[in-house]
Amino acid sequence: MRTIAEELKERGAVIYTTVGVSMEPLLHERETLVEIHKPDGALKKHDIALFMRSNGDLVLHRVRRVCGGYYLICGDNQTVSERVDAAQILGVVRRFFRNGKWTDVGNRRYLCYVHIWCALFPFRRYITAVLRRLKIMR
Amino acid sequence: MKLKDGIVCEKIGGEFVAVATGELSRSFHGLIRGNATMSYILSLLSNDMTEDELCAAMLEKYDISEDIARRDIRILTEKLSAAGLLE
Repeated sequence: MRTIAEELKERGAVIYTTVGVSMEPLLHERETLVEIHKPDGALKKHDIALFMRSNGDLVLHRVRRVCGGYYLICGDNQTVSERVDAAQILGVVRRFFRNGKWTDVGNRRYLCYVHIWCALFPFRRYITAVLRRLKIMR
Repeated sequence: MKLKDGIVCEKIGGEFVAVATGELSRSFHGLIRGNATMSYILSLLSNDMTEDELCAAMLEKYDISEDIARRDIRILTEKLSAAGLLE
């Protein structure tokens, strides 16, 4: 069986079931599919990037800041960003499948979520604690 | 035969890709690539159907011989069965 990295290299795009809770409340573990494409060029702020850590782990997190030659990236359910070199980036999410329908990353409601969620980053620790208590997110 | 719950088939680029979601994604980690015919057969298999019923539906939709329809159905259902995706 080929890896996601090989699929992306050969085909240019892949669909993948998300695993983990680091992108909650947007992407739900094993319930959300993402369509990932090989990036055309540099990523933009708020893109969801697929990258490979030095230990070989594949991670799908959001770009918080674009710097020269690297990105600061953080999951929607995380409060600490990590530095990711451009060479580690394998792909970028173009759309995702949740609750029975596909949503494009250009969708207005989605962009509204992204801007509000990212603007509230300094308070994320408290917001996620409340949402978890209300069982709205994991 | 019937497809287990959790299979999503979507067009990506010029081809169709079927992947598992939910509990099924714990046992099936791969993806199945195919064409529009595969997508049609998968949509039929969301209901419990026999090979004869699938074949009749294929002959109604496509201008193909019964032999080709049965061959395509068997190739796909064997693949699905081997992957544990059929009930």
